[in-house]
Amino acid sequence: MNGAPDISVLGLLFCLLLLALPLALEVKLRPGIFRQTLLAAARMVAQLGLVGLFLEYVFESDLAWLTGLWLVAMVMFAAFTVARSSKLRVRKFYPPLLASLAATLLFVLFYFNGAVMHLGDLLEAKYAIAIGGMLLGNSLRGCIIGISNFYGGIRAEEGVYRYNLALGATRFEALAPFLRQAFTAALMPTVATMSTLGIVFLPGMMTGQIIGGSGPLLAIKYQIAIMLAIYACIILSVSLSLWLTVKHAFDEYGLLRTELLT
Amino acid sequence: MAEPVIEFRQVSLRDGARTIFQDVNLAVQAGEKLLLWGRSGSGKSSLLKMALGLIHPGSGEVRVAGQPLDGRNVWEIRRKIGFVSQEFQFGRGLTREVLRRFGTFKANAGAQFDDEALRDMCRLLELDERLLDKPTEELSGGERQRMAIMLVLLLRRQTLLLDEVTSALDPALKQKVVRFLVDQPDRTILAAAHDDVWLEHAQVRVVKLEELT
Repeated sequence: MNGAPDISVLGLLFCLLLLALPLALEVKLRPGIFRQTLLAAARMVAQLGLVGLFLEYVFESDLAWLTGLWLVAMVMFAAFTVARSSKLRVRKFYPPLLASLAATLLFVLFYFNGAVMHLGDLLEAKYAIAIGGMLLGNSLRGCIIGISNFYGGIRAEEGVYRYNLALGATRFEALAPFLRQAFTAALMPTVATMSTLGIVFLPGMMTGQIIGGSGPLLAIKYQIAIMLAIYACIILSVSLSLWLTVKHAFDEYGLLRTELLT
Repeated sequence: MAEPVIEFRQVSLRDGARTIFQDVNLAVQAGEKLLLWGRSGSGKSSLLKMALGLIHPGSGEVRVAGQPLDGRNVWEIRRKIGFVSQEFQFGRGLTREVLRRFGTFKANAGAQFDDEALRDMCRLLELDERLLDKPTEELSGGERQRMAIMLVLLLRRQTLLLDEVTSALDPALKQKVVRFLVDQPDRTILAAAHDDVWLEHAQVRVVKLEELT
């Protein structure tokens, strides 16, 4: 691998110049997003700058405990984001979401690094953090879509849900239509991505490999492997999140505890 | 005397600061047809829902078949009581399929949802059979109401909680449906209604909720 060519400071400045586009949009239509865009871009630069410096050190030292610590921090932040974005009370739902994301990441990452990549060290920093980040990012997105869809669906169609309960449905039977909807919503974006991969767009991992000097065939193998791992991650994390949060979200009569939703 | 099928003991319900009803005592005996009569908002529907654990009383106790209703036995109780409510919805889909979905519950394993059973029910409730192949969203209020009655009859529950089940039916059909329901001596019925048609039947015990509080 030759490695990707460096991007100079001037190159990055040219990139920032692209923010003139939202500025122009703001001047013309006043959609009120330029300030948010600028803040988001500043946050991105600051976050990635700090993470970049930190990862330089982590990859260089390749200490298993430090890699583990970084993964733990990522999972903790992801669980918080899922709870908040899914409109669940963080205090009540943080522990089950944390457990779901952590168990999913641990299982799929070790499976991927061990059985697929055949790495001797399952916590080798370069792979554990890069692959772990991709898996966790997708789990997070899937969980937000799945959980929001599930609880939002029950709230929107509480009449249907209660009618099922009233006429003898078990807890699972009454929840089944909403579970189906939640899984479909969480998985469909990945299914759509998988089916268009390579034709409509070249995804991040593959692009990164190619720019980094890998041949297209190797990049494709990585891409196939990561897509399937991502899919497994979404199924596992959504299943675990729903299974563990349902225990808190409904009372013993099967009624949704709406006070725990925001 | 046998234990009442459903009993409310000193039951109260509040909505925020407003008391909807207080210290209601009411017992429904096996085979009895009891009509809760009262103005809108008096809490008739809520009282029915309490018997299925769908609303929790602010105070007091709900007993079903002699047992205090709780989070453990409510699941078994819901398997034995049929409920029709104007507020509840079937869910989306073709009416025939939506009705059959209720038959897939373990609790309803013995219920017949085949074409013949559905046809017989359509005849009884004067429903055009072709409605079964229409999406539930396209049914009128009266049609939905009859589908809900059909569903609960197909489930063959001995005890029925009926919340305004005839409000959207024409007068002749109201007569027919109420007569059909009250003429079944083994069935226990607790109904909430405004319709005078219930009052024409001697077997119906009428209770004014306002007078119970």
